[in-house]
Amino acid sequence: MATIKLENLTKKFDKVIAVNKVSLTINDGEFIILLGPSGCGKTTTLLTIAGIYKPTAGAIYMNGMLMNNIPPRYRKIGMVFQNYALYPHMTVFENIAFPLRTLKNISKNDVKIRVEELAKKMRITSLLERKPSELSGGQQQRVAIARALAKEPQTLLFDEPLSNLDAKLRIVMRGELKRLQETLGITTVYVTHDQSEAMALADRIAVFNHGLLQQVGSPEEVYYSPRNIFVAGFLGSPSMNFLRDTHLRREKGKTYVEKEGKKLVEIPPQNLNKLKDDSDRNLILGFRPEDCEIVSSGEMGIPAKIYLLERLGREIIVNVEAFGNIFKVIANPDSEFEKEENVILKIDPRRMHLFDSKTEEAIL
Amino acid sequence: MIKKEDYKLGFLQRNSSKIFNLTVYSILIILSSPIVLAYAWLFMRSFSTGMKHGFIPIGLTFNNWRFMWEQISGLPNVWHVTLNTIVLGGSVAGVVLLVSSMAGFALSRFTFKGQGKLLLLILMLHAFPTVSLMVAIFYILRITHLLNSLLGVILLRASMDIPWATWVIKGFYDGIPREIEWAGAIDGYSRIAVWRKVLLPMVKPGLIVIGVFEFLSGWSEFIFITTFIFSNKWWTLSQYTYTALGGYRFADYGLLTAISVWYILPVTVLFIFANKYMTQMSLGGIKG
Repeated sequence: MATIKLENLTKKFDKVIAVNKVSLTINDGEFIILLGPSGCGKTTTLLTIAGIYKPTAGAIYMNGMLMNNIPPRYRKIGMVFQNYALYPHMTVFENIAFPLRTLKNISKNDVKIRVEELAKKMRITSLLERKPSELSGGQQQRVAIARALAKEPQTLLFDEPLSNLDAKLRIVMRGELKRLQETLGITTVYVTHDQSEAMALADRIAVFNHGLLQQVGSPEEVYYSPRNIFVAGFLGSPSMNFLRDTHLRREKGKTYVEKEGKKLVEIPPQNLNKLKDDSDRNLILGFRPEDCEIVSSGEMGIPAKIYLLERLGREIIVNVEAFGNIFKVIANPDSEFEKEENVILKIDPRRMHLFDSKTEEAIL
Repeated sequence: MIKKEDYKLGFLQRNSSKIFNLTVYSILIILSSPIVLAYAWLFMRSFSTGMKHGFIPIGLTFNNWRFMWEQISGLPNVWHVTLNTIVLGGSVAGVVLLVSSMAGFALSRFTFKGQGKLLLLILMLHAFPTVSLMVAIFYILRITHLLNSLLGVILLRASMDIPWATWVIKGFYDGIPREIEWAGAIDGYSRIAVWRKVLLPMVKPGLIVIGVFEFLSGWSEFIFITTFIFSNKWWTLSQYTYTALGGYRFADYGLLTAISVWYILPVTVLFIFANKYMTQMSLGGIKG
């Protein structure tokens, strides 16, 4: 199928640098997700892979071949757009058949067979005679996917395909997409700003911000070992809690994170060698809402006060106030808390993160 | 609790939308009646020998329509003239459609230096009164040997209308999302093929509107015909009607009305056919 290699890919629009020296290798059959907030360069990267945009600098290789100036139609790709971009004047059948008509030596009957096969796969057989305007969002989505698959592309590109669907349908389509990609085994590049979508679908996630590639890795890697504050904060919902102005403190062979003289958490000895930098610097302590618990008293931890409870049924999101910050903590739904109650926030020492406050890079 | 007494409405309130419609239609009917009555008069007069009190037709006759089957002195063969008019209208529509459908696409999709200024210039060109250009046009036509030729008039009329048509069709192109074009490119088509197979069908309402307007523009062209055409071999119906109107010492109203009806008939038919698309004009609109 296809491997895609981006080498220092740069795209400028006038003076704005949309994509800045991105290097990324996408393996054959891989489902990779480009994740980031809007305007981070992920869609521009995707459109450059598609050949809609030409790179300003750098290179795109597909199966080892330089593709910089190759028009989209020769790249053996299929693409699904956020607004589906179906041809409104054609029926569903015509939409799916449209890419096929560019193939040489394909008979009318072969087109029909192929379209019907795709329609069956996407479960839209009953809609073939309709116009796109007569379809619901989810149905248009299926047509768009069928059209993208028509020519058996080597690479599938998705640009925020689920954003226009309602929340419930989005979850359904998400599952179907994953299943489809696994059965077909087509290399897939998928753009989204939804971190849960990325976690659910991707083999690997490439996190973008300000046109720069922040981190590439499996969902677990980017979730559990974020390389910097941006990645740490972007993945996960509610997002990671950060406590600024913390320092390292060594006492009797143990290393603690402290703030204003208070020991917050001890770094486990087996993690000390992972500590990239142990000088006495201003640090940011990061911990996820699920990686801490609220206890009534204790030696070590963040002294906090209960601020607000968000009861979600399956869990409670407890908002606590500490050092002038509001932290979110996921707690068991049966736990009882009083507002304004003084508590201690105990952080799971194996799951904590430390960032340099200047560079915002992770040091643990 | 909402009680029934609370929402009891008066007669005017209950029928407010009906009264509104009635008022609007009454005003519209009154305002348009002079034009409608004028056409009705024209039509009836062309089939009668005279009008009693000026507006009651008397005596059914087809004599007024004799220009269709016999030679009228001073006027060329009407069928030949009609054919010329159709050729003029059709060619103007064809040339304008060809140029504006491509120019509008380019203006909508490509960004280049001075694009905004070019767009303004195009509008300004359209605003110049044609008559002010007559002398210059005469010279150009003479140099290019297009004086006294229908082709000259076709090109003139088309070049006058292309700016307007380009603006209109650009508005339609602007309404098409880029993604549709991209999808076409990814589906395996060249830019020109995407334009032809995807975009043109999508701006079809605009093309029909332009086609109809331009056909009519050619159909009703008079100034260029009367100025640059010297032989009645290349007359069109506008010149024919004008001559019938002014060329006689004794005005034959029956003949005149019949010629006028003949002249406006195809236009009416065309409008009825294109009515559906005319109303869609506002959808495409003109956006800067």
